[in-house]
Order: sequence, then C-alpha cells, then structure tokens
Amino acid sequence: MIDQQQNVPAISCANLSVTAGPVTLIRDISLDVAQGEHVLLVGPSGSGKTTLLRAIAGLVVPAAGEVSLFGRIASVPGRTPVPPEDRGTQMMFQGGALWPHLSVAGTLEFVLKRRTSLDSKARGSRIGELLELVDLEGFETRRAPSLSGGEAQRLALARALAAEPRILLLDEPLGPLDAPRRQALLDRLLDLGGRFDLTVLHVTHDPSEASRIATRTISIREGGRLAASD
Amino acid sequence: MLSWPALGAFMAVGLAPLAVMFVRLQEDPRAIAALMDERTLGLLGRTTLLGCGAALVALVIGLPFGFLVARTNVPGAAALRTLGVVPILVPPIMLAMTWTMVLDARGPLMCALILGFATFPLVSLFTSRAAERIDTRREEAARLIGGLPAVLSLNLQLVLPAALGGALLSFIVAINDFALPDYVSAVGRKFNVYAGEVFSTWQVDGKEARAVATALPLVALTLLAITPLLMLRRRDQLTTIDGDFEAPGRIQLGRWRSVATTFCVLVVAVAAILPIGRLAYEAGGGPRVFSGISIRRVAWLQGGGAAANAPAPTGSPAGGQDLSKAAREATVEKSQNAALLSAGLEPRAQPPAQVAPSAMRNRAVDLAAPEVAAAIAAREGDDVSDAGGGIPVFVGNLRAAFARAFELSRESLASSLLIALLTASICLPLALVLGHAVRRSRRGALLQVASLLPLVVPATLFGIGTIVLWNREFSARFYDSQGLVVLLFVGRFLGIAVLIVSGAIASYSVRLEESARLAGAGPIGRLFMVVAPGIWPTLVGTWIAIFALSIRELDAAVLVPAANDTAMFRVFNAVHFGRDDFVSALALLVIFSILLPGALWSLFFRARLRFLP
Amino acid sequence: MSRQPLSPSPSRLIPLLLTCTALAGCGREPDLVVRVSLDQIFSEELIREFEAQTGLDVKAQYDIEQTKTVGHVRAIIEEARTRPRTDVFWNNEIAQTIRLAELGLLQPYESPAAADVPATFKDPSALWVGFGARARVLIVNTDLVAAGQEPSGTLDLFDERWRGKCGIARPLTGTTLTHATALYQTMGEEWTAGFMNELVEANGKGQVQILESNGQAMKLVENGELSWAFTDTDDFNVARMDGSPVQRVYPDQVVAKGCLQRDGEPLGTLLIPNSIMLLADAPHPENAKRFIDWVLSKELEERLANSRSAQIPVRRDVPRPAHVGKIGDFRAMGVDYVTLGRTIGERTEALKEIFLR
Repeated sequence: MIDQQQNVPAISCANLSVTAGPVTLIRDISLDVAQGEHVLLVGPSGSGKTTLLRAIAGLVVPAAGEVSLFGRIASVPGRTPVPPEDRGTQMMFQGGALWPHLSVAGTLEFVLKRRTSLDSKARGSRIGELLELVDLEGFETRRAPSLSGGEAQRLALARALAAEPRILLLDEPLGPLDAPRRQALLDRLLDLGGRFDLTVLHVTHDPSEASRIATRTISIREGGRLAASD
Repeated sequence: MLSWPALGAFMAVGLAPLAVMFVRLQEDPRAIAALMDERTLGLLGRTTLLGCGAALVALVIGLPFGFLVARTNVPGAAALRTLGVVPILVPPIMLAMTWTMVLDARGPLMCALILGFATFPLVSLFTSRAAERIDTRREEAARLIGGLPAVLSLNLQLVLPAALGGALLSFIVAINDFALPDYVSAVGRKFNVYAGEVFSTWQVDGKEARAVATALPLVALTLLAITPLLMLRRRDQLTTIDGDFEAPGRIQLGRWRSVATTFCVLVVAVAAILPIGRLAYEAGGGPRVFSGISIRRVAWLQGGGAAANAPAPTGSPAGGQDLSKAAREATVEKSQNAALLSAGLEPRAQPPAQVAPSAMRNRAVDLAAPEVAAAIAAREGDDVSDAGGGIPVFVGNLRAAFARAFELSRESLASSLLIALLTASICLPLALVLGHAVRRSRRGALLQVASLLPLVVPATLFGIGTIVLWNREFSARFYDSQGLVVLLFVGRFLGIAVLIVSGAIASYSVRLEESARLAGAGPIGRLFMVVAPGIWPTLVGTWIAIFALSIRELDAAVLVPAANDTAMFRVFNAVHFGRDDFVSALALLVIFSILLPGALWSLFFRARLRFLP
Repeated sequence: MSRQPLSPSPSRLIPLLLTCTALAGCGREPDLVVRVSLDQIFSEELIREFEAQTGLDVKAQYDIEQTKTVGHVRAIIEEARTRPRTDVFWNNEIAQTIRLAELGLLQPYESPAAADVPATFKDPSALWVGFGARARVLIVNTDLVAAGQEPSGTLDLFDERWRGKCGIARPLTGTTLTHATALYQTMGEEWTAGFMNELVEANGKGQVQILESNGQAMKLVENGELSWAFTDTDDFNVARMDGSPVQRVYPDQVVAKGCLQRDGEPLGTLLIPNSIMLLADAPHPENAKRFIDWVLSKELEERLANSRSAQIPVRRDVPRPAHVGKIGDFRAMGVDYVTLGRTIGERTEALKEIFLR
C-alpha cells in the first residue's frame, strides 16, 4: 500500500506516454494532483482520458514517463513496480462494469473479503453501511443487471469505496443519468470525497455539470496532450 | 411463412423415422413397465454415475484448459486451442484403444477418465467463448480490488455456467456410449452400462416393442440433461457479453505461466497427440521396427521358449508367478537378451551384466537353423517389414501403409467426403430457418428439443426407422443410393446445426431484421441477406461441425445399404482383421479428413469459427 | 466483417443441393444384392472377382465387428416387411440364419455345389448351407505358459493357477453368445445357468476377465496381459500371422479336470460354420443361385482356409494349410444348429439377466 506523506502530490505523472501497438494513446503528459483535490479531466472522445486513468491505476504500462502516487514511483516504462491492487486507487468504470452474476450485497462481499479482515458478521454490517451511504438499502439481493442506470452507478461507487481507496478515479460516472440524478450523485461524491479525504480524478466530456464540485479542470486534446489547466 | 417447408423437411427426415418406430410400442403395452425392474434400474444408475464422472473429469480439465488457452499468456495458446478440439472429433473407442496400450489402469474410473478426456473439448470450447466475452472493465474492477487472484476468482464465477453447460453435453455423450465401457473393463471387474442393454435387446426379435422401449430411459436421461442447458441459454447465462463490449486482454500469469503451460501441453499430449501419435507409430510398423521382435522371438524359442526360461515357480505351478506387466516384461526381456547373446546378436537395451546366464540353461542357439537365418537375413536385407531397422524403415513402412490405405479406400474416402459435404450443405439452410424459428417463435424451445430427438435416440433405432420409412417401391432407387445416407445424416444432425445457429441468432439484434422489413425485404431476403451475413462465422462453423460429424458417423449408417462405402465403415471393418499398420493409416486418413475443413479454414482465414450452441 | 457469406440465394441453393443428393446415388439397378457378414477385408475381393467372372453388377453390403451380424438381420427383417431387396445373405455364423429361416424369410435352394457338404452343415429342407467354419478355441501365450502347462478346457477358467490371467468375451453377442447357447443345449439348462453365474462371480473375485470381443481377447493374449482366453480360430490366426507368441488349444478334448464332459465323454470344441442362403422373394433369384453355387465351390472353401481368417473347410477333402485344423482331428461339439438358432433369442434374455447387472 502506498504510504501517505504530507506535502507530496497524491498523483504525479511525469512525461507519461502510453501506446497500443503503433498507436499512441497519450503522449508526454505531466500532471500533479494534490491530496484532497477533485480534478476534472475533460476532452473530446478518443483523446486518451480513460487511458490516463488506467495508467494511473496501473492497468496499463507506460511506454515512457512515470507515475508516482504519494511520492512513490508506481509505474515506469515497461513495468509497474506497484501492482494495481496495492496502489490505494479505485476506479468507477464507464458503464459501471458491474459483475452480472452477483447480487448487490454479493458484489460488496467480493470486495470486503479481499480488502478487509472483517469476519462474516462484520462484513454484513459494513455492507449495510456502504449501501446506506449510496442510498441502496433494501437492494441487497438484487442482481446487477436488474438495476437502473443510477442505481448501478451508485453500486459501482459503493464497490469502489468498499476497498477504502485514497484515490478515486471516475470515468464518466454521470454518463447514463438524467439531470436530477446527476445532481444527486454529484452531491454524494462531494460529500463522500470530503468525508473520506479522497483525492479524485474525474473524467467527463461535459465540464459544466461537474465544475461546481471540482477544485480545478484540466483539458486534454486529441492525440493525448494536455492543453490547458486552470 | 418460410419455416413451414423447413419444418416439413425436418419432419420427413428426422421425426418420421422415429414415429414409425415408436408406433410399435403399441404392440406390447407392458413394454415400458417391463423396464422398471431392479436390474435395469441398477444399470441406469451406474450409467448415470459414469456420465457424472465423465462430466466431472471433462469439467476439471476443460475449464482451466479453455480459460488458459483463450485468455492467458500461455505460449502457443492458439495452437494448443486448436489441438484441444481434436479429441472430440476422434471416436472415443480409438482413444480407449491407444490409452490401454500405454496404461495398465482399467475399470469404471478409467472409463470415466477416458470419456472425460474424450469430451473435455465440449467444456473448454464453451469456457473459452465465455471467457472471451468478459468485459475488460469488469475484470479491471476486480484487479484493482485483489489483483490476479481476484481476477481469476471473478472469471471462474463468470465462466462456470458455460462450462457446466459443456459438462452436460459431456454427460450426454458418456451415457450413450457402450463400446467403451465394455472395452475398458475387459480386465478386472466387468462394468456394464445401460446402452449395452439397448444393444442386446435389439438382437432378440419378436420383442420389437421392448427394443424400442429400452431406448426411452436413455432418451429421458439425455433430455433431462439438455433441459438445464437450454434454460441456461434461454437466460443468456452462457454468454456474458453486453452492449458496449470491450474485449479483454490476455492475462499475464507471471510465475504461474510455466505451470499453466505444462498443464495445457499435458492435456493436449494425452488427449490428442498420444492417440494420433500412437496411430502413426502403428502405421509405420513401430512395434516391429523398433523392437526387432522376430529376431528376438526366434532366438528366444531357440533358447527353449517359456518352458526353459520361465522363472522358478513360487507356490502353485504355473500361474502363481508374478505376472504383473513389469515383472513379465522384465522376465521376457532378460531371457530374450540371453538368447540373443548366445546367438551372437546384440542384446536389446539392457546391459549384458543384468542378464542372468542361468536363464538359458546352457542351451546354445543354432545359428544355422532356417528360422534364425531368415530372421537375421530379414534384418539385413530389403525385407524389413518384420524386424528392426529404426527410423528409415519406419518412414518407409509409414509411406507404404498410407499408400495402401489410400489406394484401398480412395473410393470410400471420396464417398465419405461427398456425403459429408452434401449433409453439411443441406443442413445449413434448414438450420438457419429452423434456428431462427427457435429463437423468434413462441414454441421455439419445443422445436429445439424436437430437433435433437433423432440424435438422442439410439442410432440403431433411427437407422431402422429410416429403412422402414424409405424402403418402398417408389423410392427403391433412392434407397440404394448415397442419397439415403445423406438423408439419414441430415435427419440425425440437423438438431445440432439448429442448436448452434439459434445460439448465434440470439445474439443478433431483432431490430436489424425489423429495419430490413421496413425497407421491404421479405422473409427469405431478411433471413438470407440480412441475418446470415451477420452470423457468418457461426454458419461456417456449423457447416464444419456437421461435416465432421457426418464423416465420423458409423452406428446408424451401418444398417443403411449405401452407407457401407464410407471410410469410417472401412476403418471399423478392418480393425478386426486388417494389419495394424494398415488400419492405423486408414484411421489417420479418416481423422485427417474430419479435421480437413477446419484446418483449411484456420490456414487461410483469420476469423475464428464459431461452432458452439 | 469484411467477407460476405458464400450463399447468394437459398431459393436457388436448396434445389441444387437436393438435385445433387438425388444424383449422388441414383445408379442403375444392380443385378444382385448381397449382404455379407464375413469381414469386408476378405469378402470384398471375392465379390469383385465374382463380378469380373460373370459380368454381373453386384451390390454388396458388409458388416462390421461392432454390430455382430445383428444389424444385417434386423435390416433384412425390416426390408422384408416393406420391400424385399436382398437376394443372398452370406452370414459368418449360423444362429441368426436359423432365425431368418424360422421367420419364413428364406426359400429353399439345393445347390449342386453343396452336394458333398456333410449333412450336419445343411438344413434338411435346403434353406441354408454351412461351409468354412470357425472353431471356438483357446489362444495361449507361449511366453507365459510353458509347453505342457496349457489349459485344456472350459473349466480351467476357474482354476486358481490362472487367477486374473484368463478370459472370455461377454456372451451377449457374436460367437460367444452362440457358444453360450450351445452350452445350454449340450450341458443342460441348470448346469449352464450355474456356470454362467459362477463366471460372473469369478469375475467379481478377479479370477476371470470378461472381455469385450474375441478380437480383444486375441490382443490381450498377444501382448501378454492375459495368459490365455477363448477366441475364434480366425482371430487366433491373425495373431499367429503377426508373429506373436501364441498357440491354439482346442478345448474340452479329453476327460480331464479342466474339460467339460457329457455322459463321460469330452464335450468337444464348438464349430461355427459360415452359412449362405437365398432369401424369400429375392428380386434376382437366378443370379442369386449362381452366386451361391460359386461361394459353395470347393475352390472357394480352400481359399477361405488359406486366407487370414483361416476358415476350417467342412468338406474333408478340401486342401488346407497346416495351421488350419481338420474336422475329425479334433472332437467337435455335437450341436443341433437348428435348435441352437431357435433358442438363441430366449438365451440372450437369460444371459442378459446374468451378465448385464
């Protein structure tokens, strides 16, 4: 697990490039995110936003550059010295990426079994707390495919939180939701971010909706170059 | 509506032969009740256990194998995956023959093991497909939580229903086989299965109702096993794909890679390479070429044979000696080496120090004896068919055996290929129509089960039904022609084709058909110009699967006049009296022709075939 | 998805395929239809030769070991019900022949070529003729069994000396079924039922191996897994020609411990002749008779003796190689083949109760 030191950025990318075969997905990106920040990452489709998140999570290996988390080098060209599961990062995937065969409670159980040393009873009450956090009480036995878009996103959020991450990577979390539900989920993210002292990197293609909860917005251009930050 | 003519065709070639047989049940109203005695039920119970055992073995091998070759960085995964299909195409009895040549183990467990190995591709094919359909993001979510163990645990849960579906098919194949248990339990306690009851009842005439009735329990058991499979499929549990799917990458196994590779190579070696390799070894006269058996034999007999060289009896006279395979071989080897030594020939393998001189009882080998001279001449001369010679001789024999097998069976091979080609080509359009109806019409499930009936009844019953139906004045010419064989095979295998095609149609969006309809396409146009192009890899896969099954088919075909000119028929005919090298070469030729279209496809086309239900 | 499927239009494709199927076989009407259960590997050549000699077009259908003649008889019965099609049936055994005779599916033909066939091997009303016989013998591995130590008869199956090292095929099919039925006839109902039950028990105790077929019996003895087993002379001869260390023992020849006896005499070895018959309503009776005459000739019986299947000629004066026995040189089991054929059905039922458990 990455130790948390004061005054170092939670996420630091230095000249990061990721390629897939002959295609360059992101090129030469440098980026620092301070602890506790909520940074919006915006840009057109195909500009490499998701790839950047996956590189930070350790799911892809950089072709050049480095990723450091809380001051510790986590990815270098060609390998990931800190494996994804040990980085203290969790990700909310586009579309939720929920496990179709598991129930709501089963999904959280899957995480808690692997991330905590709680016994079965304690896990049960933890699941209750997590579901309360995301407003899914009473959904325990429902299976993932039977949830609505908003419910699915909330379960995905609960799944990410169950692992007690320090860094939360959000990939278009508001995508499938209508306007009122977007606002509700944003409120919850804002609330939870503060409560768990999370550093959040939040990918969206529509910065206006989320700007009210963000500390800063970075835009990324086609071809995977950072264009501007403010 | 388009499906009516196809349905009619299926009724004529698939269901009518069954109907004419099942009508006979009326002749003896007690025929079914007579089956319910303790003995028959015992046989059924044992058969079910055997089926479960085989399915378990298939699952234990097939699930990891299918997953590893489809999803991980095991080296040569593509080749392993292709080789992993071979066992299901080779008749299980051939697998049993080669296994028992190599292994001493026998009995019910061995039956389950061989049937499991023979049918594991059913599990691994389903597993591979399911594993490829896991969205990469779902896997990454697990990865972030618990690394590789969490990914594997998630994947196991996601592919398990599909793998179980494959295991059910393995169960079905296992319970319908009787030659294999009979063959494998030849040494040790006899292991009888229900399919043997079916076969022997057919021998007794005057009890036809009874013979038809014996088929029913197996049919019921088979349908019972198919039902969960169809239900799983109906609920789309066998597939985990959805809307905006992102294909997963290969999982890096790290230090487990070598273990996984060893496992996969071992499975393929045992289930595919061993049988084919052994056949090739036999085809080249391997046992003779590499042991030089006749020289050793002659020398051995000259030395007095068993009488002079048998070890001193311990306890009872002759049978009391240690007759375990190893002890036996050691004794024979030792004495033969002694005989060879005294004949002035090279002993085999073992150093002379280990040869007990007393074994020969001081008898000298008469080198001038005609049989010794002939054996030595054979080793040195051109006639090498019967002794020693090593690799060059082996290659020569191999070539000769193949040439002979090809020459003698050229016509049979050609007619097998023609029959298989026609069967597959006729099944395909029918299966497209019926498979579409299975998915899109209200009574689809019923149609699906009905289409499988000709395959799940004993082959004898279906074959005789076809004879009864078609041996008429008006169809006399047809009855004697290969057309009847094609008809028989279409009836028998159409259900499989329907099963595969309907699976593909399930994943084909109905909206595409609706838009074609609005654009003015009729039912034929929609099905063949819109749906078919959309599922073409499945259609090609179906064609190849039916082709392979048609070449393999034997049991039903053996009854039908025109079918005895097929290559498979010739192999089993020659098994009894043919020389082993010839039979093996013939069997290899048949296996090659079974694999031919699939191999050609993978050579020339990059797209992966789909032939899973 | 760059490639398009091959099928342009089904409406053209299906009739095309159906036409192909129809064309695939619609040959001309044959001059003679023969079903042969003697292995194709021998019989095919003979039938081609007959075609060449007579210019007739023969449609021959062969059998395979797996179906043990049952397939042919079934098909003949079913064909007779709908449209008699077969002219001649050349059966490599005799019991199923009797069944067909009982069902009234044969017609008498007194072949002049069969005049010198001993009466034992002919049907009194000329419905069938037996020729070229196989004997039920013991195949013994000479590497494992020293000269003078060989088993001598059926009861040796229960001898402790051969524990786990002797075998017989399961008597539910083929010549082993015929053999078992013959024992019922010669040794009596009660004794045989007891014997069969004892066989199953002995198998459970590891004394006797119950094999899949005579072919397997031969292979297991050939490669030394068994010391000896019951098989047919044709299978024995294959092992012999392969150069395997085997010898043949005619069982139950003397009054001794391992041998079966009836009325103080040794029971003898069962002979199972080939049989040939003309089917009732044969569509081509004249050609059928020509074929039967040809098959029953002495020359052909001699060739069968010389073939890999080493059939024993039923006529004493037919020349044969040394390895083929001569009826009379060994004691043949005195069996009434007609009764044997009549009873084989009910015996199968009884044996099934004993062996299929």
